[in-house]
Amino acid sequence: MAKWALQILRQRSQAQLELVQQIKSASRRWDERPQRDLADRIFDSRDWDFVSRYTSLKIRKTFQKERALLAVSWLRRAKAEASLAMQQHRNAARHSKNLELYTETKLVLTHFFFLFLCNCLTTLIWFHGAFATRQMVLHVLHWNVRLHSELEDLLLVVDSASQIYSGRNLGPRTL
Amino acid sequence: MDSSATNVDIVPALTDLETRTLSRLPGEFSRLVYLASSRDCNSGRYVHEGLSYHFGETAASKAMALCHERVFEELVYCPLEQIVQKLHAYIASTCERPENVLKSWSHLQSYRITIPSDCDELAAQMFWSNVKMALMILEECQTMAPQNQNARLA
Repeated sequence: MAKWALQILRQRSQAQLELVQQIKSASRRWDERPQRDLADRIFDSRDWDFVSRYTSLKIRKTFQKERALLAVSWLRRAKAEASLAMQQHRNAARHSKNLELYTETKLVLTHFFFLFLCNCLTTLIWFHGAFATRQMVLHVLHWNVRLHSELEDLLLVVDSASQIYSGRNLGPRTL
Repeated sequence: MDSSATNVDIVPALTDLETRTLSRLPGEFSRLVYLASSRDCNSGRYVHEGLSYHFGETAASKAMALCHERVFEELVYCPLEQIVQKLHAYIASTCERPENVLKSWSHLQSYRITIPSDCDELAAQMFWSNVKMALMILEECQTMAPQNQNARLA
């Protein structure tokens, strides 16, 4: 009976570990090189300087339109990834016993503010183009990083909770 | 592409491909077009007889896929001005007349199939957009050049 109980506990804690691993990889995906650098490339003023200096009005207009489309795609992706990370955090939080109301509320508010900011930026980009909203995008990147770091803090809480939950059966953590 | 687990197996094939084949091609666009055209449209696998003979089909295909991703990434993170220069150099390196290449690339949008199979969606969009702009700029330069010449002659 004890062996059976231990086995169930091991299976559950393994599932918990996998969940935490998934969340960590999701949040890591958030600010990894491709997305960050692509945002830098999309909003890079050097491209606009080049186009505005050497090309005709027709090309300048097409370029602005193209960059606006890319910027909106980038924002859409940032929103989707933030929502995915939040969803995974929610799933992990259900199993955690170390939840702090203040931190969770703060995280939810930050997340919604981030989504709101993304929506505002999308509207601004459609009206004013990608380069006019460049500075604001930098602020969104700042929010993205902040939300990410807050999620990391929370993951530590969830992590330690799952460690307590799993007992000493799994040995040292390798996350 | 999952290259981490099998990197050790493909290193000799990769080195061979880079030193013997890719280094002889001028510029990133030549390499990108070469690698993309070596890919079978149906299976997505890369075909290189010499490389397959020496290192096996799987290692050869993986090495080519990795090189394709590297070349593509280099172009994606290039500023537009450099893309224009690189594309210009590529067009000049082909045996075709520049206006024909420009027309073909613009109309058929053949650059769309030069992206690696497992590339990031946004990176692909960025690449397509930049190449489209570069083509427009080069086409404009083409139409401006005879006008300038005529003005100079007059």
